[in-house]
Amino acid sequence: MPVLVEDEKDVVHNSKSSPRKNRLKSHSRGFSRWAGYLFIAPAIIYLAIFLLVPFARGIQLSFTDSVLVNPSGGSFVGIENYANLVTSARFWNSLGATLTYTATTVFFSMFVGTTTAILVNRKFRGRTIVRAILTFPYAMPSVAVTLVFIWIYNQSGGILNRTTGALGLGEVGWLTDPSFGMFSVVATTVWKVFPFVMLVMLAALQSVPEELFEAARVDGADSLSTFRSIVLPHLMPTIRVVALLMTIWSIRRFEIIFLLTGGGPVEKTNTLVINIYQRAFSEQQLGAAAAIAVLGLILSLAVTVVFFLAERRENVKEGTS
Amino acid sequence: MISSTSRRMMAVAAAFAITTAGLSACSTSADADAKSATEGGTLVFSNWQWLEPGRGEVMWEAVNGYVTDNPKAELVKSETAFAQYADKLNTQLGAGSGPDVFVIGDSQFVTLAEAGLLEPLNSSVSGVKLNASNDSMVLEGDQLGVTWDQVSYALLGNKIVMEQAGLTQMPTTVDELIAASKAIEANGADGFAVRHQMNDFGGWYFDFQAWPYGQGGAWSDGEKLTIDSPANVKGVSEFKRVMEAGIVPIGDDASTFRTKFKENQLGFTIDNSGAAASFASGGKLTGADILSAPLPFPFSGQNEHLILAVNANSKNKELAKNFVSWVVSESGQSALRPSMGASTMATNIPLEQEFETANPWAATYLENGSKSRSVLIPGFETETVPIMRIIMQAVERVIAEGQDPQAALSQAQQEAEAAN
Repeated sequence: MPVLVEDEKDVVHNSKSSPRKNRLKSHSRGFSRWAGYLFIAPAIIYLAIFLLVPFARGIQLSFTDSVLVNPSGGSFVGIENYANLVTSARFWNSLGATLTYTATTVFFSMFVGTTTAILVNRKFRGRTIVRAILTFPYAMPSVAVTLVFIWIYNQSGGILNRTTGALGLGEVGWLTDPSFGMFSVVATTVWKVFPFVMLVMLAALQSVPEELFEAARVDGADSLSTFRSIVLPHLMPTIRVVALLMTIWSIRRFEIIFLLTGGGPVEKTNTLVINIYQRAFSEQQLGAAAAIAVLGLILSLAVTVVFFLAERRENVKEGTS
Repeated sequence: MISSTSRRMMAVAAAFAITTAGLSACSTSADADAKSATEGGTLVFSNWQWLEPGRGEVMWEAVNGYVTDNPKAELVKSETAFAQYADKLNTQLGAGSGPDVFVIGDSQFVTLAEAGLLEPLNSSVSGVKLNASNDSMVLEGDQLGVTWDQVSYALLGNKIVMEQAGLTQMPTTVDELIAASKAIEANGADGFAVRHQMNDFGGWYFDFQAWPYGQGGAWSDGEKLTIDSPANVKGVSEFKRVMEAGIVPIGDDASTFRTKFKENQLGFTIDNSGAAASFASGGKLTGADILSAPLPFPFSGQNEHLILAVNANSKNKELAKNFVSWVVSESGQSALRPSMGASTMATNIPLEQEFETANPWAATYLENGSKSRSVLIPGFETETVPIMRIIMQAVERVIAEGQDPQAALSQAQQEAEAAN
C-alpha cells in the first residue's frame, strides 16, 4: 500500500470535502500560521515594556546630561559622556578592576566547584548530607553572606585576624588594605557561588555512561587517565556554558562588592557596576552613568561573541577531524 | 562536540543575562489633586532617624502629636537606613513619586531645590518666629524647608570606660587623645573611633570635616577650590596620625563603634549631637555617663543641617504643609525638643531643665553649634558631594596607602578643578 505524505493526504481529503469544509480548513490553517505568534505575544510584550524600552531609554540617556532628580530634563550632548569616560583614569581603573574581579572569580569558582563536584560524586557514607551542606552558601541571601563576611574580615575583632594574630602573623586589613581588598571580595564571591558550579557539574558527571567507566577499568586505565579521557570530554560542554554564565554574572555583580568595600579601598574594587551606581546615585549624573552601562554592555557582548566564535571554531575543527 | 540543545541553552542564557544589564528609568507625573488639610488623609514621612535605637521611637511618638491636633490625619513612617537614604529619596523624587514629607541633609536640599522638587512652605511658616538657621532655605523668596535638627560635633567620652582606665579628664589635644586612648586600649577596650571607610562615604564626609575645619581649613574660598591649603593638609595629617596610632578599631563602621560606645567597649569618639542623644536614650549608658568636650583642635568644627521639606509632587500637599505648620508651632517644637537632644531646632526653643540636668554633655554641643560651619562647600554647594568624594578618596590613599597628605590633596585639587 502506498504511503501518503501529509500534504498528499490533505489533497485527497480536500478533493472529497464540501466548499464549506474547505473554508473552515482554510481558516484553521490561517489560525495555525498565527498561533505561534499569539502564544509568544505576551512574553514579547512583557519584554518590550520592561526590558527593551528601558534599555533603549538607557542608551538614549547616555547621550544626554540628565541628572537623577530630573531624568527627563537633560539635553543632548552627543558623545561627550563617552569622550569624558575614555579620557578618565577612574573609568579605566574601573574597567581593570572589573576584568580582574571577573577573571579571578570565574577561575576560582570553576576550579573549586568542579573539584568539589568530582569529590562528592564518589560514593561515601553521608554523601547526601555533605552535598546538602555544600549547597548552603548558594541558598543564602547575598546580603546576609556579606554581613557575615564583614565580621569575619573585621580588622580589630574579626575571626580571621584573631586567627592570624594567634599564629603570630599579625593583623591584616582585609577590607581596608589596598593589597587585600580585591582578594577579600573575590574570596567571598567564590564562597557564595561555587555551589552553583558544583551542582551543574555534578549533574553533568552523573550523565557520563557507566559503561565507559567499566570499559576503562577493563582496559586497566588509572584514575587520571579515566578522568582525562572520559570525564573531562563529557564535562567540557558544561564547563563552557557555566564559565560563560559566571563571566556575565561577575561583570554584573553588585551587592557583595558594594556592601563589603563600596568600591574601596582606594578604588581597588571599584568595578563598572559600582562606578555606575556612584555616578547615577551619589553624584546624580544619570547620563554619564548610562554611558558606563552601555560600555559595560558592550563588554558583556564582546565576551559572548568571543565565546561563540571560539565554540564555532572548535565545532568546525571537531567536524573535520 | 557541543550538542544543539546545549548551544540553544547557552544562547538563551547569554541573551537573557546580557539584556538584563540595561538601565531602566521611568518617570511618572504626579497627581496634583489638591485636598485641603481639614479633609485629612495619610502622610508618608521619610526619615532615617526612625531607625536610630531608642531615639527613633521617641521622635516618632513626638511627631504623632500632630494626629492629636488633626485627628483626620494619619502619619505613616518610611524607614530607610542612612547609607541608602539620600540615593533612594533622590530616585523617588526624580521619578515624580516619593514620600509626602521628608528630612534631608543640606547638600541634598540644594540639589532638590534647584530641580524644583520642593514645595514652598511660605504659608506654613507665616507668623512663626523662625531662627537664623532657616535663612539658608529661602530661595528666590520662597521658604523651601525648615530646620528639623541642626547637629554640631564634639568629642565624646564614655565615663565608665575612662574611669576603668584611671582617666578623669577629657583630652584637649590630639596628643592627649592618643595618650588617653592608649590607656584605654591597655585596659581592654577600644580607644577612639570615627568613620574611616569609603563604604561609609555618606556619613564619613560629614564627620571628617571636623579635622580640616579644626585646623582652620576650608575646601574653597567661595570662588575657587582650596583643597590643598596648608590647614587642610594639617587636618589630614592629624587624622593620619590618629589612624596610625593603634587606637582605632579599623574596619568598624558607625553602627558598630556607636554600639561599642553604648556597650562600654569604646572610650572616645567624635560624633554629632544626634548620636549623643541616641547614646543617652536608654540602655547601659545614661546621659550622666557621657562626657563631652570641644574638639581637640585649635578651631571649631562643622554642623550638619537636617531640613524638613515637602514633596512638590505630593498628592496631599496641603495636609503636608499643615503638618509643617504644626512642627514649627510651639506645641510641635516642645513635643520634639526631648528627642532632638542638644540640636538647634527651627525656633529658639530652650532645652528642658530636666534634660540639661540629666545630660551634662549637651552644653558642649550648644556651645560648639554656635561656632560651627556648614559642610557645604561655599561657591560649590551643588557640587559638594562629588568634590567630597574626590577628597575622601585622597584621604583614603593617605591612610591606606601611606601617601603624603600634601601630595594626596594636591592630586585631589587637580581632579576637582578638572571636574568643575
